[in-house]
Amino acid sequence: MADRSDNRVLNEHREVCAFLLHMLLEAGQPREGAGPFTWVDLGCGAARILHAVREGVAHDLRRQLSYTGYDKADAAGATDRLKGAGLHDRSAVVTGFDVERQLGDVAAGCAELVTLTNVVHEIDPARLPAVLLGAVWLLKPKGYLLVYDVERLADQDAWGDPGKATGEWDAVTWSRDRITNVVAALLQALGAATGPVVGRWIHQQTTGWTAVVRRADLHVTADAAARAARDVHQAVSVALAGQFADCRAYIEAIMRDIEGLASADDEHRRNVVLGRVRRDLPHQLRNYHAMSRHLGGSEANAVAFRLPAGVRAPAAAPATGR
Amino acid sequence: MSGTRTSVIPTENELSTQVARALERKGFHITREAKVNPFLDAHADIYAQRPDGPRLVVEVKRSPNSVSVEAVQQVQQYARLLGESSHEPVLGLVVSPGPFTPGAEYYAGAVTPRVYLATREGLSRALDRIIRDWPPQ
Repeated sequence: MADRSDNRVLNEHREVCAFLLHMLLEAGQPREGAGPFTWVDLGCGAARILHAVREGVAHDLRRQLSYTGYDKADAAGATDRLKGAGLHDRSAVVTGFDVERQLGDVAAGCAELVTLTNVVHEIDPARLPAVLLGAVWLLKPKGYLLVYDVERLADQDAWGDPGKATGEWDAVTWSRDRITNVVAALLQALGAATGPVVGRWIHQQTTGWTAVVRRADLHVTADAAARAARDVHQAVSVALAGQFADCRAYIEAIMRDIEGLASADDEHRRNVVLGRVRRDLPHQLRNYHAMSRHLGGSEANAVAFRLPAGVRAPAAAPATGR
Repeated sequence: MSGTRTSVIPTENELSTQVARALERKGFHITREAKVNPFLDAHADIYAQRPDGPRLVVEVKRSPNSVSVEAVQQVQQYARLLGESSHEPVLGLVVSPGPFTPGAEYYAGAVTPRVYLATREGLSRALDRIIRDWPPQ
């Protein structure tokens, strides 16, 4: 779900995950009993995260791991990667698995660590509450959920291969401030005493965010689950509408800067604006397109996104096919 | 933003100091310490708060070059993050020795919460407007 090539520039999310994994294993937390440290990697792609694990986690710590990756796509080369990381004895990659719809098929309370790395942008916002809650459900009582994603796609992700329709045209990338509200709603509904700390990662090509949820901080009951589903949906709706408005304002702002160039004799300003056009405008337009579709701009969505009462729906952009 | 009572006057450059002095003249208490969220601390030059409410994240630009929309967006996002972490609204202010691009000016007024922009000469007026407009809609 997340990766298509070993040569992609953006490998940092794997390193983020490997770093957390190393820290957890080294600290002996949150492992329970003498069994392996169970890691469920949702939207694992071809399990390329194991490259980072092989490089970033000590061998004796890796031997404690039991890794299961889930993804809809074919995980070409995953077996070799499991072997390369020394995990093949008790690890697997499950393909044909729809993270948005099949999390209930995975045993609840099975994992010390659940990861969603570079996956959230591929999830239909209408399904995001269920995926986040489902991921929490997989955690053992002392387990951790690590969610990492980028604030904007690297160009090759956004546009795909030249001549091929491989770009992630429906992908909604979330800004750190917007996703913080979503995670806050999740934590609050599940009784966490503290709010989220969503970290920011500055990469060469983009920026990313990381949210860590500790199962031990939560008080999960049936009532809390129902409340969380409702509250997180509301938070996603508000965040999506707000981010859409910001995106539209940003595009309009860039257009005004372009118009202003005609009368500008400031060379630096010209370079700044043109650089912004090259770097930001395609990303903003793609995200605008994706958000408008999820906000109801297209009937092509399998699940129509419904804004709750009181949330104003922005005007939708014309929908185009993938 | 609450918690410390010690004013911290930025000394990196003359404009930062001028901004800090102007904020204090308008009744703002200044601190660099963002107690709410440690991740935010590195991303704003000044955090300021008045006893009667107005809270600000202030970005002071060093270069006389034009300030673009991206800088405004960053301040907006940090102001929103800080505000929602503390459950109290926080406004953004960008002060620059140079001009703002038309897009930056447009974006600052189009987003919620809005971001205030000020040149060195317009700083006092911008602070008056922030105080007058508080609380943000």
